[in-house]
Amino acid sequence: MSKHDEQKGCAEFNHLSRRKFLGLSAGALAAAAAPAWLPKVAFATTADGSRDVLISIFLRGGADGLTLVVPHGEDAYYDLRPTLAIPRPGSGANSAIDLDGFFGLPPAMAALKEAYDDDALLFVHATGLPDPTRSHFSAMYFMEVGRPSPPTSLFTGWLGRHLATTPAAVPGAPLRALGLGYGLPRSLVGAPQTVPVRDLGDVGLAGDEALAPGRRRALDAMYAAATDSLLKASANNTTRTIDLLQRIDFAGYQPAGGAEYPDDEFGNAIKSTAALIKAQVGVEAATIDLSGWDSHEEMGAIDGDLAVLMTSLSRGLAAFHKDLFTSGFDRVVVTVQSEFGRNANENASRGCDHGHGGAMIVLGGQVAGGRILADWPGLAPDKLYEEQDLQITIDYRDILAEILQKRLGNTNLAAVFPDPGYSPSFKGVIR
Amino acid sequence: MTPGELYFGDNFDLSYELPVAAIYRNFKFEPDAHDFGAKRVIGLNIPAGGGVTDAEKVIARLAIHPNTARHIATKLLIYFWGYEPPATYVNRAATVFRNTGGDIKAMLRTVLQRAWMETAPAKLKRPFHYAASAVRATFGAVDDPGPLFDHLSDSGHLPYYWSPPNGYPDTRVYWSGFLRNRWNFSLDLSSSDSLGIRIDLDHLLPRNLTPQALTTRINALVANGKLAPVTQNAVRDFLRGGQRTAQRVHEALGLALASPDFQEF
Repeated sequence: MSKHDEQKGCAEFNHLSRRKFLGLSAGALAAAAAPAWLPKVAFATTADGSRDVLISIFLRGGADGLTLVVPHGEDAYYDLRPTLAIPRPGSGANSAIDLDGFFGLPPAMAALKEAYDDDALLFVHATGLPDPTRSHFSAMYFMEVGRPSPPTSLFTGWLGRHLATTPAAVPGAPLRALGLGYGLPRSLVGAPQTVPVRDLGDVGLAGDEALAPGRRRALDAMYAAATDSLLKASANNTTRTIDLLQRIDFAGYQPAGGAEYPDDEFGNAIKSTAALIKAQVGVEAATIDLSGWDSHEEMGAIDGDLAVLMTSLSRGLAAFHKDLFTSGFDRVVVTVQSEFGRNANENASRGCDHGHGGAMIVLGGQVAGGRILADWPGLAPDKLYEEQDLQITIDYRDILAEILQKRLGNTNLAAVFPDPGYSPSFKGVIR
Repeated sequence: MTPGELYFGDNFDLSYELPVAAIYRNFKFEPDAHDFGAKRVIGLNIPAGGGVTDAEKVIARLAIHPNTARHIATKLLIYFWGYEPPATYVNRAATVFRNTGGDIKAMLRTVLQRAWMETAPAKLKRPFHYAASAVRATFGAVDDPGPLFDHLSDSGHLPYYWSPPNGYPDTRVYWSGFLRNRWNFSLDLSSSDSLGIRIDLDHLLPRNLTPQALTTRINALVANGKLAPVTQNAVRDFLRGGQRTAQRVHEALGLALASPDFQEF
């Protein structure tokens, strides 16, 4: 979702990122049965309104955690990043915005300070996938499946398995989750009633508008007589999903609280997601992909490409926070993660190569925010992973597992993160 | 031990500079990563001090393993015959594999024999198959593969992008989800130029024909005359539903391609 995809990334990322590697099953596993149509009024009365809606944002390319959340209290950071480090707070223009005396935000992420001060925003640092791979392809695959080096028989995603093993929040809802972007991300594979949507404002059928009723009649007639029950059920679910999304006026959506979403792809995606949440149609999860974080060359953390990406991300999240929290829709949790962080050392091209530990962002009404969650390993030479990267001291699965269990009604984390060598350890992400 | 637990020094050069397709042509043996000790793998004793030949021995052993013959026979039958091939068919094809030293062509002659094919149950086309068959049925000429590429990506079936080495799932349940992509592909193919594919509709479907005659032509194009009566009626009713513009005629073809009939093969 960025024009920056193919400019600064390594060859592997550029090859993968031509919008193609994200696409998986367009429908994931099909609905086994077609539940009866529920009119809109029925949703609110049957909904499990205590659950949060999860928005999972993936920064594709390996976002630099040491820029997203600046360890300005760490002298070694300034030794490792002589030209790329964000200056210490109070050291003039472009200096970091202090958060807790040790960590800070880069100027490009200033928009997030308000949600942080509102205790709705949590940063997690020195976190990630506990696997040594430095390949985008492998790291994303492992992270989204939910297990380091998964067996080939495990191809569904962690979020897909959560949804498949948790009853629908709204019984009979035609749409439980969606992947905003190009194809369904791996994390959602296996989820029932889940579709990929490029643009929520454009979910109808192709063809001339004037002929739409006739097309619909023809499709309904043909599929009502389909001999294959799966195909028949899927057609029913498809038309219900289209009807559902078309009832929502995404183009005319007015955010609350004076929230201003950035006018870019991420801004539009997160704004449409806000509209979808407020429509209360039973959607439980959405994923958004943001590409372009593979900053090998000319990283531009202050005023270059990375700053542009961070500005879009932070303004979109800040608007989402203001929009939903001022209108009573704070039963949401947003997670932001990336396949790995970047090398602690900057390289000769004023970029950073693939690394290990990175940062996560968690935003939500019940998130224990206003702080940085970290078991900070330090950046001194003897503290670095493989002598070059930030260590991982918090498994990213611990963060997601706590959210799923405490806020999304999950009672079977072993199905979500099936790994005999792993059991979730909650870190206090949720209040 | 299973082969997956062994440390062979066999590797691929995963230099980032190589495009993905090239990575797998750059085999190299890395002695530092190899376990030179004696080992026993799938019933095969490998003495200490080997090297690159260790993996070759294991691969040779795997190639003649009965499970390999059965696995490949099953995959071919699922692909060409149906989701649940009878055990007798699998055994026959596996026997051909063993008797011919793994000759896939000989296996295919067995798998594709007329008597078997005539009883093959319907399978759901996967997105690639669906798109390719729609283009073929309409004699389409691909001017620009970009939009087709995007469609396959959106549909989750871009060739060679399934990351585990076992290939895209070949099951009905996996691919019978959201149908919007399939429907829109058919409608776009027949009634717009957005897919970068040219089809000569004025020639295939002259607008001055009657709805019944057009339906007959569409039926011939799309299903060799075998569209279900319900589908034929739906197409004809659509054509009769208003002024017979070129757009309406083209979308009628799109609807036939979007029908349940055309999803299966």
